Amino acid sequence: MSAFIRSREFLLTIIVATSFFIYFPYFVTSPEPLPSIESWLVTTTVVIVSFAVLVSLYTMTRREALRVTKRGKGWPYGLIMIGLTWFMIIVGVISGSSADAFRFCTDAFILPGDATIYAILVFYLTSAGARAFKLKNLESLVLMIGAVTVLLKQAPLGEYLFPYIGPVGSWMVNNVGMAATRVFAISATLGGIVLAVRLLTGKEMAMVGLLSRRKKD
Amino acid sequence: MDIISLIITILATFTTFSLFSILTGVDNPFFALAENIYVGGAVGLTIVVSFTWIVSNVWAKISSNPLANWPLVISLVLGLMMLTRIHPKYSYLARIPICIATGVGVAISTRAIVFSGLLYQIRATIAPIFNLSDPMTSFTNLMIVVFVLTALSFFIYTREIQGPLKVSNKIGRLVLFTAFGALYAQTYMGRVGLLLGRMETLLIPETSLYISVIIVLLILVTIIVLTKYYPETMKKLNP
Amino acid sequence: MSSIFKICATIDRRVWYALIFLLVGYGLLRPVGFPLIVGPEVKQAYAVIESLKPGDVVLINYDISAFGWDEIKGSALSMVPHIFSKEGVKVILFTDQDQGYIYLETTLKQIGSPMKGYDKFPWYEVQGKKYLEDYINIGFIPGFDKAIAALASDFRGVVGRTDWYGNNIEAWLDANGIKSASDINMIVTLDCAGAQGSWVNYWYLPYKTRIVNAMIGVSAPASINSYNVGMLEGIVVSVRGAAEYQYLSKYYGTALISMDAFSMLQFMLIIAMIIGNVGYYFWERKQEKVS
Repeated sequence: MSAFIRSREFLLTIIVATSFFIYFPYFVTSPEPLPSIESWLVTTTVVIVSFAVLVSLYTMTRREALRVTKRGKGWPYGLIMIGLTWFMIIVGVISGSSADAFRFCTDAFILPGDATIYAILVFYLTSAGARAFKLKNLESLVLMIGAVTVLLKQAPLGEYLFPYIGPVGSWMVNNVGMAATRVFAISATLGGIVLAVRLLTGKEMAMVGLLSRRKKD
Repeated sequence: MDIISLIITILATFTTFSLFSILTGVDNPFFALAENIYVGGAVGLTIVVSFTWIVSNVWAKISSNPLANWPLVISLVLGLMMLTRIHPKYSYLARIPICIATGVGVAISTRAIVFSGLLYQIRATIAPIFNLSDPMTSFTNLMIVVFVLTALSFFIYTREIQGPLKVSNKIGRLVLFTAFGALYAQTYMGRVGLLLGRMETLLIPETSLYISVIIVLLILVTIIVLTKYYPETMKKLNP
Repeated sequence: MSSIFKICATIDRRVWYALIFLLVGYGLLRPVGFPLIVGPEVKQAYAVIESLKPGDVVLINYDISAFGWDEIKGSALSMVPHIFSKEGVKVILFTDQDQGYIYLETTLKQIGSPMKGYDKFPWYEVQGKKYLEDYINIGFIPGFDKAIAALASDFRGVVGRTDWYGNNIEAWLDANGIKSASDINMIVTLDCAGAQGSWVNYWYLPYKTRIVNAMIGVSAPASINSYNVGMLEGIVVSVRGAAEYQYLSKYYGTALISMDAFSMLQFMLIIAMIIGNVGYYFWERKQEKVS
């Protein structure tokens, strides 16, 4: 039985079947129960994703518990990390996410931390701008023109001091920038379609944990 | 400001500036502490919220009427099968829900992206380029067509770049570099907005301003003293 | 003279970091009041929300996590009260991010007040709209794009019978004629994670639902693309767009205050680029030639 479940053909059948029930009702007006199966599959995926997070919890707990028990490098930090995780889980499960202790931890640690991690990028972007935007050739010149134009357009003071920068910057964003974004969107879409076809034909089974590939793949 | 709010403000400010302390260029225990606290808390929050949804939406429906909601029972069983990933002997069972999630995820994204990411993009690019009654719009449309086609030609790797393709490739390269500059500026704008919002919370209420100044001085002085006079202690405190 | 160019080329990055902190602090604590020009995209977004009629149902999506809240709160705290101020419009609040419900409640706390006889969520009155009479909060549904797709394919089934707080909402949904996704007239999505792509794919394409999108700067290129193609009716880009919306809607807030510091930082980056190039051309290139 386990050999059958582990087999590539069985897993590929599941993928193809679920994909069929998602694709078919979208493109063809289908009678029941096809739309119901489609809704059920989407809901099931949401449930599966929710449980997948619990697997990461186990992995993290195991890794940090090993580090703490073996007094590995930085073990006090691991203890704090895992302690806070489990404290929040216990409080949240018992008292709900609106509990005072839960909201205390959220407001004091998680929300400021999340915002700050991304805000730090401003500093790195600025030092990168000072170091990397060197006018060595035509490409770097247009790179800098694009950056400076949009920076001036974005800044209210820039639009006030240089009135023409608004239309020029908008043109650059809505035409040049949009053309590039459109190209990226088309490329990503084609890549996504190729990936989907490869998955449905069994050539990309590494995505579902079958790491060994046949030679002809 | 009541005492709980004051404590939250102090801890939030400490977490923020501890994370900012990495900008000193020195690995320090403040950053390590804040980083681990943040990761631990974020995982806890994600799990509690996911668990709450499963209980209130899935389990509540099943327990109220199991026979009518039998498909959800199967969903729950499949979700529980994900947990077998932990066990080395039975981890193969987790491949079934992974396959379902992968099949559904890929199908959902590709069925719609064919339209929004490909057909609509191409349709929007095909715009009138010879319209004498509106020459400005015609010129703009022509520019967009030229930019898109030349930028696409930059990504051709299966032919030798020569002749007209070489010119197109060069123009496409310039278009992409200009766009990267514009995208860099937009990214900068976004991050600046985030920084300003964060700093506004820390600086504008007067109490917060005093707390921020004290905590910044505390962190900076500690890092400088540890780095200059107690480097061994600094090494021990860093993970 | 060459020492000045050497300094320009070898400025310690921590000098820039300190300068950023100083400019941000000065700009926020001592705003100068630089003028602000409102762009056509924000005017369009404002006009779209102004066009809401009594009986319209608006779904507001809080695709917001902590990492983007500070950037998008300006949009949230001006667009949401603007929507609530439209007479006869019904509102459904939803979030596809696990932290989104926190910011949803933060917004309601700031723009509303507890209803008479109540002192906690969800019983808040906002711009005259009462909970479970004029608006509901269906809370968080995990899965991100899959949640949005699930809502589109089976709205009532995914929403269920109760709201985020356990109150029965079936009667409210029936009374307002909300049986499926096609009964939602407009979606206003406040994005930190690029949810507009999912709303476009699963709601605009099949149902032609009108979508207005406020987003953080990183998500702007994709949203601008969708807007120019015609899939989004209005966009409010990052903190600059939020400031413009606050100015138009007269729900003034922190985004407007931060525009001075915003301008200073943009100019600082340009100056940093110029200084870097001066140092490169007059010192670094000479060093490369010598070596």
